[in-house]
Amino acid sequence: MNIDPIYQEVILDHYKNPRNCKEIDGISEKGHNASCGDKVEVIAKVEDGKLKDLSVCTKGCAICTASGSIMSERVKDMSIEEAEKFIERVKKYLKGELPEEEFDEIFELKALSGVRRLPVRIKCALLPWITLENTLKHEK
Amino acid sequence: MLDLKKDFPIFGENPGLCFLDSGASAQKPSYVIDFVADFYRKTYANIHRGVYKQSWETTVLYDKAREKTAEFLGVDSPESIIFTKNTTESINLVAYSFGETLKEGDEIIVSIMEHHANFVPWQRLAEKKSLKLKIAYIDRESLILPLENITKLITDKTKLIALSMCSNVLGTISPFVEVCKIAEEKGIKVLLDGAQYMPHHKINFKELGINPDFVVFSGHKLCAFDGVGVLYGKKEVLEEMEPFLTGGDMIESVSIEKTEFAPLPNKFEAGTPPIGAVISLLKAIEYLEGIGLDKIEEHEKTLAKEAIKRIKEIEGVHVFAPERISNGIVSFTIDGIHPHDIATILAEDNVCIRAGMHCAEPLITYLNQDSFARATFYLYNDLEDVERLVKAVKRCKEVFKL
Repeated sequence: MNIDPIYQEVILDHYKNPRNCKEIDGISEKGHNASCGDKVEVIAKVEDGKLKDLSVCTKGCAICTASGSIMSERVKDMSIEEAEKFIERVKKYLKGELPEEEFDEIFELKALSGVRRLPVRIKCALLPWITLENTLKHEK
Repeated sequence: MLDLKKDFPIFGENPGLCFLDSGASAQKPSYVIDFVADFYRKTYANIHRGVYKQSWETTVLYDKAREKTAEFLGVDSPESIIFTKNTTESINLVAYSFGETLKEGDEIIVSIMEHHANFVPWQRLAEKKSLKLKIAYIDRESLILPLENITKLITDKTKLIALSMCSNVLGTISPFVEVCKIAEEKGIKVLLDGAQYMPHHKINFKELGINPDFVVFSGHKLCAFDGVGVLYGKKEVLEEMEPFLTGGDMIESVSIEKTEFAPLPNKFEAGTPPIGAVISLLKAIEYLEGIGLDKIEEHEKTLAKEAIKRIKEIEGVHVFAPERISNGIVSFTIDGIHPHDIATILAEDNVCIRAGMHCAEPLITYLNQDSFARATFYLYNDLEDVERLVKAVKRCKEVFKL
């Protein structure tokens, strides 16, 4: 059994089979971590103030890819406002500003919490969320 | 084999540390640390200005570092050695000051395997002054840089060849000796980036029969402190160049109307220099020469060869190094695992490597890669470190269930 605190089953699954990288029409933004070369492209289809569909395509490490894939499943169908609040909460959580138990109900996000102990990898996990945040700014 | 971990206190302070990131910066031996600490306790003062004992003694040590550096490179004039902050600053100095003399349409040649430090300044200069930047490519298969790929770019407009002596990613040694000879015949200036070469190889430009116009490297990669870099320049070339930074220490006289600049080397050393770091360079060179750079090269090569042989045996591992390696640089990838994840997993085993683009994005892109994991061996590493690397690479595959 794999007991590595970061590379848990669920993270590896999202890395090896990232969800929701697809061609859709909508507002989009690209994100890039210069030091490691991680790249993310987010496309959001917004209808009636809601995130109707979301595409997240990542080229990067397991943490960044899994984080983007998990995000794509989580924020779909949220209202813009809900999504923004959720992004803020996740960002704080990944940075270690919220308690470990904050996401007990969402085990995929809890699985990402390993980065909280790895300062240099936090930015990998944050990149998709920041890119989505920037994408949603186009709606305003 | 060398057995030098005991000389480097970091290993005593961090039992089990498998440090394979000397390509980024080398650890410091007690020989250097203790001398500089002692210097700060007993001798320190600013250089040049004071007439008192401490200032004089500091100045003597500082000048000795300059002489030692000239001797280390095998060049004649110590006043041609300029101390800077690092390799990057040395190259920028040349790009600004020598760059001033270039004119629209002039051409500069660099190779695809340059570190960003020897790429971006020239790219910027080319944009600013409408110069042409030409790229000499390595062979994608053999990973070597054929001389012909450089010489075929030379035209009568070529003014400078800025060339890395050794790639920080591949360990490829460039044909810098031949390039210097050809360039000299044609009146083309050459800048050699020795950041990855100097710490690992014996060099003597006089014995090689070449006299490059500029040679740059950093102290911190050869066991000196961070904060000191070196620019060697041909005396007559440096004398003709405009100063880079201006202010204190670099002047002969200043009036309200006009400033006369100091002669070399002061002309290019404005302000208080990194005195302790410069003195650490003196001690670091003494230390490395005491061991013998030829022995260091042999030692690193043995370790890197063993590491390459062993990790290549692991399925899915690809090593990016030329067939005949001559130093301790081992860049690799593992199918299905991003190099950043490799470095993270290795770090859990206290094996320190680097992952990413290694400030050589044009090269990584040219090789159709996103990123490399890079282990670099230096004089204090041993076969146990190779073992640790191999084991940790295997563990990566286990963690990723490959």
